[in-house]
Amino acid sequence: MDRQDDEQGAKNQEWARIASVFLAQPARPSTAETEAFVAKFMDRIRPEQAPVPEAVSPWPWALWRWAAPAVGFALATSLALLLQPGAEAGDPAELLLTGGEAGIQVQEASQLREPTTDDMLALAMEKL
Amino acid sequence: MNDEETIARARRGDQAAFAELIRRNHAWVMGLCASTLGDRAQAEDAAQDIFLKAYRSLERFQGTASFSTWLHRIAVNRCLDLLRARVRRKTESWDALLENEGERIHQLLAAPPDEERKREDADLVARVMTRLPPAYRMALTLREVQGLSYAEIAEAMSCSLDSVKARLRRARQVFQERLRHFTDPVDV
Repeated sequence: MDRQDDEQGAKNQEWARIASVFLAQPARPSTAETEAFVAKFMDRIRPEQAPVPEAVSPWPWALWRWAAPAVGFALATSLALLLQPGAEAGDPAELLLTGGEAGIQVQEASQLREPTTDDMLALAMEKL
Repeated sequence: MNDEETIARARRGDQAAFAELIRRNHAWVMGLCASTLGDRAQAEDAAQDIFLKAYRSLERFQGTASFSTWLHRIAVNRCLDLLRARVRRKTESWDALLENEGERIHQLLAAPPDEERKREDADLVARVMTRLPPAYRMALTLREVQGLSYAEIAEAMSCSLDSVKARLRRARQVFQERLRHFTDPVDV
């Protein structure tokens, strides 16, 4: 146990020597150096636009920019539907079932007539 | 004025407030850049880039972590990028460096260097440090030079606590193995 402690102690000492040389604190910049650094930085950012101020957040304008055309389009569509001349007002359920005039025609065409004696005879002859 | 108020003013476009934030953080940002990059001029350029990135990203700063932690993350990423770029054009190996500069390294480790010696041997220290992989070097700098806790290093390097401990352990091991010859009094 003591030997292990000694080894660890020696390692720590060795590390302290290495760190003192290779990981030493760099010299702290003087106030003048810091001010020169700040001045250089400010010269660099001066032409840039400042960050957008919070007080005049542009979000309502951005929203209105998209909402205005959408609301206008909705109003125009509603007006056009209401004022449409000769708009047919029928029972929507009935129209859906019959399919309007076209539906009636299809219905008529698809109705089957009673088979005649000739039809029965023709069927019998086919089987033979 | 505290950090929160200064940040709020800087976010509203007050450039003088951002200048104040630079003054408060300049010393450690420069220290981190100088320790990891070695070269003073490159460290200053990197520090400028770090503050510029912070200035442009200030709107995204949520305030969930401290400003210093947030700035540490930006600084670590910038320095790691520069270190990785250097690794890609790596020059000399550990063995070549130890063989060529063995005597100077021995003298450096034999006695604590004074300020003048430190300046003279800064290039050698930088050359030794560049032998370490960037992530190890960064972890060591944050711990030994900046004095950050393991948790703070994990936050700054965006990795787990275990990963920080492993990197530090391995980095120290590499250093000690390579420089044992120069630190062991029996071998000298």
